[in-house]
Formats: sequence, C-alpha cells, structure tokens
Amino acid sequence: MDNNRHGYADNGSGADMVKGTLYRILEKPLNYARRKSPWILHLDTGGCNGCAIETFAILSPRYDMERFGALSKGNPRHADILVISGAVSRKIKPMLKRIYEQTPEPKVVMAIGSCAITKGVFHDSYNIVGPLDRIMPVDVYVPGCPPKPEAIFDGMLRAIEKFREKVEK
Amino acid sequence: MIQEIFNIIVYPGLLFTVVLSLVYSGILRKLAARMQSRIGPPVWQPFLDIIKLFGKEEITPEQAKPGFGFWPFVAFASILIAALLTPVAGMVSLDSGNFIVLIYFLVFSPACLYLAGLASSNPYAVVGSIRGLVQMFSYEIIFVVSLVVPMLFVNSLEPLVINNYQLGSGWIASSFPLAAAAFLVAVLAKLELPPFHTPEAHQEIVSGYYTEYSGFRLALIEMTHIVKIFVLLSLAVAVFFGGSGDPLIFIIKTLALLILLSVIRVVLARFRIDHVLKFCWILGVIALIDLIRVLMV
Ligand code: SF4
Repeated sequence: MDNNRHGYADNGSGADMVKGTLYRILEKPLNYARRKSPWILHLDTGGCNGCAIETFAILSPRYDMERFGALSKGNPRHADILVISGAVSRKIKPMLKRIYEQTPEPKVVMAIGSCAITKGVFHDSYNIVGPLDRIMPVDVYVPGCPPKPEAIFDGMLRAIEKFREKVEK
Repeated sequence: MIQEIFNIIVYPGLLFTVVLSLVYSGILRKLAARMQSRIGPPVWQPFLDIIKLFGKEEITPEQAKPGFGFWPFVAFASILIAALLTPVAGMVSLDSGNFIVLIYFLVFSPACLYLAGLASSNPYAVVGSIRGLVQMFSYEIIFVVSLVVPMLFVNSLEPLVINNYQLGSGWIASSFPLAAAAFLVAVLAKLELPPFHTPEAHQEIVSGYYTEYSGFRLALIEMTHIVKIFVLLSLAVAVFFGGSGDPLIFIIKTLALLILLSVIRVVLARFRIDHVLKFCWILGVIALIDLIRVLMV
C-alpha cells in the first residue's frame, strides 16, 4: 500500500476519508509543527568519526539544537531527519537501507561530510560501496571534512525547509 | 447537569488538564535547559511535538502481537480518568470515585504501556517493559503506604475531603514529613523522570518499551507521560502539601513542586534497576514509620 504525502495509507475506506478530511483541516498547524519539532537520528556509517563528533557538538549546550525544538533520538521510528555521516561501508549498507525504511514519512535525509557525499579520503577503499546518494535519496548535503557545527546547523535548517517542499505542494 | 458536563470537559476536567499538563512539561524541559545553561525549547514545544506526531506515518512491525495498536489508547484513557478523579484547585470533575479507584487507574495506565512494550516483540521494548514492571513492584509500595497515611489521619477515602481538611488545619506534610518525602520519591519514580528512567534508558535500550511506536500512537504514549506529570503533582498538592482552594494557589504549589522535580531530574543520574529496588524498599520502611505513627495517634 502506498502512503500519500500526509504519511498515511489511503485505500478509499470510510475511516481513511475521515482521516483525510481531518488532515486537510489540520494541514496548516501540522506543517507548522513539523518545521518546529524536527527530531533527528544521527548515524555514523564508518568514516573516521570526525563528522560524528562535530554532529554531537550541535547537541551540546554551546550550540543547543533543542532551541529549535530538535531532539536527538536513538530510534529511527521516532525520527524526522536522518543525519548520516561517514563513508558507507559494505557491512552497513543493508542496515542503512532498513533504517531508511523504518523511518516514518515525512522524512528528510542529510549527508554530512565529504565521505558521505563523495567517499572522500576513502574513495579507493575496497569495502566502501559508494556515496550515500547511491543508496538512498539525499535531500541536504553538508560538505566539509569535517564540516563545522555551524554548517551542520545550517544544513539542519535547510532540511527543515525541505519539509515544506515535500509536504506542502 | 450542564455544570457537570462543563466540569468534565472543560474545567477542571479534560481540556484544562491536557493544556496545563502540556505547558507543565514544556516548563520542565525549559527549566532543565536553563539549568544546563542552554536556551532550550519554547514552553509550548510539547504542543508542537504532539501535533507533529499526529501527522506522522504509523509503522506496525510484522511480528507485533494483537494488543500492539490497542494498549496505548487504554493507557491514555485510564490516565485521563485518573485526572478526572484528582482534586484540582479544590474541585473534582467526577465526584463518584475514591482513592482506591484513583490508585487503580494510576497503576493501570503504566501497566498498559508495559503490555504495549511486550506486544511489540522488540527485544529492547521487552527489556524496557520488564524493567518497568520490576520498578513498579518497588515504587507502588511506597506510593500506597505513604498515601494511606493521610487517609487514616483524616479518616476518609475521598481525595477532596483530605484536600478540604488541610485548608482548615494545615499541611499534612508538616505532621508526616517522612511520608511526604517518600510520596515525592514515588511520584518521581511513577513519572519515570531521572533518576528513575530505567525503563526507557536512552543510552542502553533505545527508547525502552515504546521503541516500536511511531506516529499517532507514539503521540498517545507521550501524552500519557505528560498528563501523568500533572495528575501526580495535583495529587501531591491535594494530599500532602496543604490542599488548594483556588486556581492561583493550586498553580503556584504545583509549579513549586515541578521546579523541585526538575532540579532532581537535572542533578541525578540514572539508577540501575537493582538499585531502584533497594532504594525503594528502604524508603518503604521510612514511610512505614509514619504509617505506624498515624496508627498510634
Ligand atoms: S568527511 Fe572527513 S571528518 Fe568526516 S568522516 Fe569522512 S574523513 Fe572523517
């Protein structure tokens, strides 16, 4: 069953019609809430961990991601934004796909660092299977090796704007 | 009749409870953020979180057992009933219950959440549920033992009678401080706030018993936690901390307790599950001292 852009399966039954009407009425507050409460899942796929440390910096009191309403969740089912850093190794590829599928719609994927974007320094390694966008659709790229926390923040705000494109057509 | 329906739906019933508890949980987050010298989310952040979760896709795991979709609704409904039975600012929305029913619904609601965790057949959720059940065995004893003290003292099973008794003759917490302290610890444990967040320990077992939930049902589970904060705070005020006759005093007292809880929440780290058991049994003995005192009066 396909999910429509509101993230629920619509198979024409009565309950779904009621649900659809409710969503149409509540669309404006819903979209506002989506932009104001992005919960992120950070996943390091096997880079040098530099990007992971810079990503954790935005959780720290100095940068404080929570002032935008964002929380760090260790669980794809609760996440809205997947923040993925590091080169994708052969072992993690199937897990990565599963985590992408486990994340409920609407979701946005961010690729952090040159490794996730182009394989970076690991470009000729035998067990690196490719840049992240060969494996899953990526919405926001944050280049750098590693990118500064400010840049990751900027990427997160752009990812929030992506919800607008994805949901509010 | 219309007055009663108004009491149940608007004030001090469902609408008032839900809105105020969302604000309280926002204040809890904001206070924690300020204590960690962060800016923190706005106070209305829980509203946004809940609205957002209503609009997310729901995922049901393939191996989920039949109760998976059902228990969060029961948990939320029973915490709402508990909210209706709790005195808020000297009023009870449903005046047909007593302490026994209230204690029952306060136990039933987390028990449903743990059943939900067991039904989702995820190892993390199962571990979380089992930890939650073990923790329940430890804190329910102090909760009930310390609640029995004001009941025996005032000689009534009605929360409202105890509330009104204290309006005339002072705080029960001043004559039974040990029971009041034990009650506050039990409240902390019932809310699963640090140091008692063992069942959902984020660093160990992902999100504990609600790991598999997303979307609408996750919103219900979050709402259950949030309303529980308000219910237990107003119960504490009504039973131990002087009662409340008008809304202003009520809000001031509950906010003071909320600040106390948020200080504890920021300062302490998590107990291991066996430490929870030992700690709560010691506190149970402390609460028993006050129980014996009230029996001898
Ligand atoms: S982009 Fe650079 S810092 Fe980031 S994981 Fe790759 S090598 Fe490390």
